[in-house]
Amino acid sequence: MCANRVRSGLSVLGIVFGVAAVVAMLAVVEGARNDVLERLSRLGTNVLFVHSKTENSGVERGLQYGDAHRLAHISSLIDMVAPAVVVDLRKHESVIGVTPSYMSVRQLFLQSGRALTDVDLKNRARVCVVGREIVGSDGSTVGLGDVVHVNSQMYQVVGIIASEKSSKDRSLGSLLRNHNNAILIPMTTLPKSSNVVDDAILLTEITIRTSDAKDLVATSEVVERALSQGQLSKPSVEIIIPRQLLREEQHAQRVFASVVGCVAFIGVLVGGIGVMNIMLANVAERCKEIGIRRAVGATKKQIAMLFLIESILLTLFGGVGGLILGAIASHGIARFGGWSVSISIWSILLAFGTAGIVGLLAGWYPAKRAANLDPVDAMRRE
Amino acid sequence: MESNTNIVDVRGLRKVYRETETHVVALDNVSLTVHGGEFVAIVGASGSGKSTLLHLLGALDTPTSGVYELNGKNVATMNDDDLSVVRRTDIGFVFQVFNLIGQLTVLDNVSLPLRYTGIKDCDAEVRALESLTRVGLSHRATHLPSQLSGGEKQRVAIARALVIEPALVLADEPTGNLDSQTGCAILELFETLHRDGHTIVVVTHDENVAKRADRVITISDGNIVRSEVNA
Ligand SMILES: Nc1ncnc2c1ncn2[C@@H]1O[C@H](COP(=O)(O)OP(=O)(O)O)[C@@H](O)[C@H]1O
Ligand SMILES: [Mg+2]
Repeated sequence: MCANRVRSGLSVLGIVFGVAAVVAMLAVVEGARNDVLERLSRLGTNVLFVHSKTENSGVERGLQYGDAHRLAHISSLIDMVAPAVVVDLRKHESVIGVTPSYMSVRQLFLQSGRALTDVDLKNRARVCVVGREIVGSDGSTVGLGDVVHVNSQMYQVVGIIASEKSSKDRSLGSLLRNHNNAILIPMTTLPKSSNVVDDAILLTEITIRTSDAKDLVATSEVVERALSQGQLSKPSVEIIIPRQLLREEQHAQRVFASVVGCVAFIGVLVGGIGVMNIMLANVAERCKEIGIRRAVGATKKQIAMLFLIESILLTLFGGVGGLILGAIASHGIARFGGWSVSISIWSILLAFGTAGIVGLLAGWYPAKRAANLDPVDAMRRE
Repeated sequence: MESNTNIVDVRGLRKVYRETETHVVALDNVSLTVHGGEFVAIVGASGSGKSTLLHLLGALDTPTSGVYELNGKNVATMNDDDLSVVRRTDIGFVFQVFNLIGQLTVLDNVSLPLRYTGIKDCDAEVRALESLTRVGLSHRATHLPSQLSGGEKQRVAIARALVIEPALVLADEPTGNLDSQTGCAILELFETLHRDGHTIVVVTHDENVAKRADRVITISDGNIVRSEVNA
């Protein structure tokens, strides 16, 4: 009996590793998905970026303010357009020339004061909205009504942006910029050569918000076409859909998941064979008992159930072990691999489902053998 | 258990074991009736077919040909599921080697046939305990078979056979593995059952058993060669 338990425990090890691999695989996949969702939710799931690739040059032209005006009205798919010019300053600070739509497209909120308005834009008002970490010339953080110097021009602070969770995002880095260090000024107040019209202001990017996240790809095509239809030549841009970018970045996780998936498959398969083996030994050893049960009136089905249930219990037991091992492994991956992992109720159910089904399949043949034993014959055997 | 009704009605029963090359005719042509409440002993040389006949009567096996009616039901042509039902509702079988399940307690062994009938667990236990009381072993209910003597094991096996209130009690050399004194006690138990109205068929080598039966049937080479009614 005791030896039996050791034997059963060993046979179930394959199931333990198989289920652990299933759990770890799902944890990585789920974690990667949550990661994407989390990062996307900060950018907004329904935005795309038109990013300038060049300054004006002899051959190519850059993205211009006028392009943003045109894009705003070309399609009902487009909900809002936010052009921006980003000028990096020292101390990680950046000045961003924007229009009033910038804050809503970027999901920025005010902590105090007011936002930039169309009137500011039209009047070329020297006002700004700043992040919480902007410091004045005296070294203290600036407040409402203070004055900050940008390119030797003075801008009055009219609003403070609510603090953002800072992030170091590998692939969305430039898009997910940290506005705690930003100074937003009206686009029209940016310093430029006097003979340049506003529409020719060179942009860093245009952020476009669509009404619906599923229109992103369609919108990017519309934008692509619209940009090349202007009076001028097509600007040199790249269109970035954050969701697609992230999907590509999940490549490593996907490769890992498929490798671990194979391990899971092999583990479960080997485990299943082990369990089948142990159940066959079990049936052989309990031959006399089976004969006795049959002799006192058990049907074939009742005998089969006896062994099927035992087999399923055995693999479910392995499933519990696998779940624990898988959780530990996932924790390790998160800790040392730096990936986000997440064990959902579904992966727990799948782990037990897998274990149970393996138990059913592995127990089927032994149970059938037990059921088909001849009662008299079986009782005679020792 | 009414007398004069046939519990067992066997006509032209034949059993051939097919080995790969040879055929063994274990029962040739056996016809036999057993009345309700009768105590029949079957005797004969080793290998004459006694166990084969008893297995057929106990619905543990099916004949190659012939008719077997148990309480009017044609058992010879039943499928496996129906045979199982007959075994757990009509037949109490006692074996020479006791055939108790070592991992189960005495009480669980006795209640085992009831577990397959769909009776509630607690009712099954009550009935098993009653049955154990009849064989005088209710105080050993929680023991394992390995803790019992041979005679006690056989009494537990008899309790298991009785627990379903069978129409027919069958015993294949029930005293064969016991010393004569213990065998006597088991024999007395069968006599008590007989007096209580049970229908009993016992295969035996034991002169004492044969003497106390209502009828002694002698089998030789798969055929009934003699049938004597005791005084
Ligand atoms: N399962 C079996 N397969 C083949 N031959 C068997 C089988 N069971 C019994 N026999 C043969 O049938 C004959 C009768 O056996 P059995 O009924 O056990 O005799 P008894 O109980 O009178 O000693 C014997 O020759 C025996 O070898
Ligand atoms: Mg025999």
